[in-house]
Amino acid sequence: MAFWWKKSPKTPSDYVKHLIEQLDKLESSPTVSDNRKKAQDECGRQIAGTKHFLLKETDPVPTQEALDELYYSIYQSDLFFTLLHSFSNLDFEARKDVAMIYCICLGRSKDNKLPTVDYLLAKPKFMSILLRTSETCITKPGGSDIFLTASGMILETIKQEQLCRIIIRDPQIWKYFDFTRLGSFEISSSSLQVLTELFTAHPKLVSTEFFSNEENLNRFIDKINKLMAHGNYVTKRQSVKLLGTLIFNRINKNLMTTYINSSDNVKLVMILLSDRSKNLQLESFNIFKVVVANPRKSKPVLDVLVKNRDKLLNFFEQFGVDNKDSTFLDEKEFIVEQIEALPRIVAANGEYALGTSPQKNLVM
Amino acid sequence: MLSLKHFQLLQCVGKGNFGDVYLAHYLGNSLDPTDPVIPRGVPLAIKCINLEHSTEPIDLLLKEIYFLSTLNCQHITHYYGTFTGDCNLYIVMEYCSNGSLLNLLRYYSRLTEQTTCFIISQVCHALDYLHEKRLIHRDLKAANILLNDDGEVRLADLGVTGQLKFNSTRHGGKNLNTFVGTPFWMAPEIIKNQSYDGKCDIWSLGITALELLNGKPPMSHLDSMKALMRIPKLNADNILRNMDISPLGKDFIRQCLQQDPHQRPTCKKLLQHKWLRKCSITNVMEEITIMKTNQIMSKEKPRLCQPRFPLADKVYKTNFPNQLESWSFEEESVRKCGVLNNIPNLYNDNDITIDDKSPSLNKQQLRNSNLSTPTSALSPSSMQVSPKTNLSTPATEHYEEINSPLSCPKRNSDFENQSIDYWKHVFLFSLKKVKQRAINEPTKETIQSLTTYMENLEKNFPGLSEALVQEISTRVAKLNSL
Repeated sequence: MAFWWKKSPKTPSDYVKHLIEQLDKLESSPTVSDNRKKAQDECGRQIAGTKHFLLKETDPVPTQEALDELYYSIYQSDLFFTLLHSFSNLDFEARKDVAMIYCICLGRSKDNKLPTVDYLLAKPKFMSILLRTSETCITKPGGSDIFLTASGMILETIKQEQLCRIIIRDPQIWKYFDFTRLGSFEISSSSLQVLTELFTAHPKLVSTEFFSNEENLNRFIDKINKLMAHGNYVTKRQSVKLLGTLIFNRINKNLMTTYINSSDNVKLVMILLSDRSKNLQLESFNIFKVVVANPRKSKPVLDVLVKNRDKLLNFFEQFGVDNKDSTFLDEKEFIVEQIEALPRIVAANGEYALGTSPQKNLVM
Repeated sequence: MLSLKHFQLLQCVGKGNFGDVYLAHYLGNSLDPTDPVIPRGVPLAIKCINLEHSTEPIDLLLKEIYFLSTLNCQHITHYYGTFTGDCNLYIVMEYCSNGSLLNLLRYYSRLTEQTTCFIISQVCHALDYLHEKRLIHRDLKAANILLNDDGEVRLADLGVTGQLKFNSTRHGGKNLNTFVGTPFWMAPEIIKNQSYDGKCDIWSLGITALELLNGKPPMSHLDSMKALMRIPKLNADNILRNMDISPLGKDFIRQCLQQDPHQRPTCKKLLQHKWLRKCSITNVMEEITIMKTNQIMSKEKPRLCQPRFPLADKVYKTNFPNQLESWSFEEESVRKCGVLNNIPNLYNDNDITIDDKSPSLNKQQLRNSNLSTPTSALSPSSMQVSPKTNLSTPATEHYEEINSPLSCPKRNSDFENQSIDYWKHVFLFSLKKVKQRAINEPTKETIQSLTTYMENLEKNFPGLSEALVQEISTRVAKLNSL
């Protein structure tokens, strides 16, 4: 591969041109044909060569001028657009190389600037195509693999705050909540990873430009509740953790107050609190404690807590008994005190009377 | 979507801190186009990680899976896909029937220079592939090198693989500083807590070569802390001086074991080294065949593993609610809240096919065996006495209670409002039940005298019943889950 660059001594911009020609050939050749395979292989070679050049792995090591020229022609030719367009037609290794080239470019810094980020800011459409690339491949064979690679590129993009701002405004992000519930494990877990990065990488941006919008806020709560209630074990744990992280950040006060004041949300958290998985219990406790500690609980939330006062006290007797963490124990003690202070319901009918006598839960 | 029912799990073939590895076959009836293409009729290894017990954060495990899925190299164990079930993560991988190189070392004590040379060259190809992707293995050693059915080498266990950043300018290309690996194989720069790159794998490659040639890595007679202190002073010449290998082999190892990572050659350079280039064999089948034949002759049984987390030990059990507490929510509002409607039980993968030779356990036993915590002693049926002697078969009515655990407190008023008295509520209770099952007088008398005897013992040694009950129930659960 080292000799790839030497073979024909052209300028770096010629290589970008050549790669784009090959990509065109790949797109225009029929789905199953020798020509297509040939074009695919040639694209793979060109892409690998570009990667080695950018990583300065060629012999001789490229000069800074040559590198700058290559970057310049990548921007000039809108190479990323062409590559994404042919993404699912490239072979396994070539796709990984595309992702690597993209990541190298994103991190490029020159004169205290990030030229690739500036370039992409001028082409916001790229972000929208990138977010949609994953969707188009979801039903194709080998879709998991394409999805994972594309997600990797999205994750790198999110790290750049200005680019994250464009992504967070794209309605396509809502689809990622749905992706976590369909398709293979890789698709579901990497979608959730994208969401986690998106909402936690730049807290201030997300709080002021996303959660400040009431419609976004409610839609987010609705979507994340669905993941917490219906996801697989991994989705449940990761989504409860994400919500906990967001709620715990002061900057998201808006989200916190809205969330903990709805009795439906509180009910869901209580269901997860009593889940058989100890890890889910602990993650949900982190949200539940905020609900209980809230000095101004809404009437519906207070009702739910009061109605379950004895069951909760009973539950907390067994909850986290083997947990030695002192912060946890302090928090638990505080929460139990708060629940004890709730008014008791005088037995009025059969259902409530049952709840007033403390019961041992026999199958812990 | 891939799930456990698409596989037939055969025996457990290995276990580690992460969980258990099963030999499996793909039954292949998944219709989802996004599912990976998995060959049928080929033995597979399924790594089963119990996420409820794993101390490793899920994110890190996911990272390993993503790494694996980006690899397509004939010298690295092939990854097919992942799925979840109950609280487990199942990773489907290529199965290497001949196990790790440690098997060979156990039998031969040490390998010949030619065999070592072949193995090292294969591993070097694998490392080159990883380094090309800016990944570092970080835990290279004989135990992580596997042999497949054809005696070919596969690099495995990418659990601590690290990804280098692509922009090498800021950190001079070395941007990892996590302290990971196994002491004896660890490169000096990792021990000295300096930042490092792929060159740390080259060091471990040199150590692994010594391990294969000598049967043990250098300094393995020391405890790991002492070894860690000595590695930064390790001098390859001192070790190689007394070894009976070719000068080329010595040169190769010496180049790998240079203290300064910059001086160590890259994989590409090493692959050009004459020692590897003159290697003439293409597999280690010969060694494997001899070892296996002798093992069969000496009637040595292949080692079977007991899984650390038996698959029957589920967190979400069939016929049990997924919640421990049934909260009082008004029907009305529960229905209104769309999310809470009908939460499906996603975890019950009760159609697992475990093909063990042991007599099939009935569902009731399996269910009881899951209650392995001490408190499970409370459920009368977990101490089922098998009716071997002159005792009648247990009446089924007692066992129905366990199916609806949340209703138990209502019926057994004994347990309400007080802590468990193991003597009274468990031991005496059970003895009474056993007595009821006795069909003739002598048996009843025996049980009565046993009761009196036990009562005295409990008086003199308070807590005896508790200990006994706990031990018995743990044991029964254990046996049932085998």
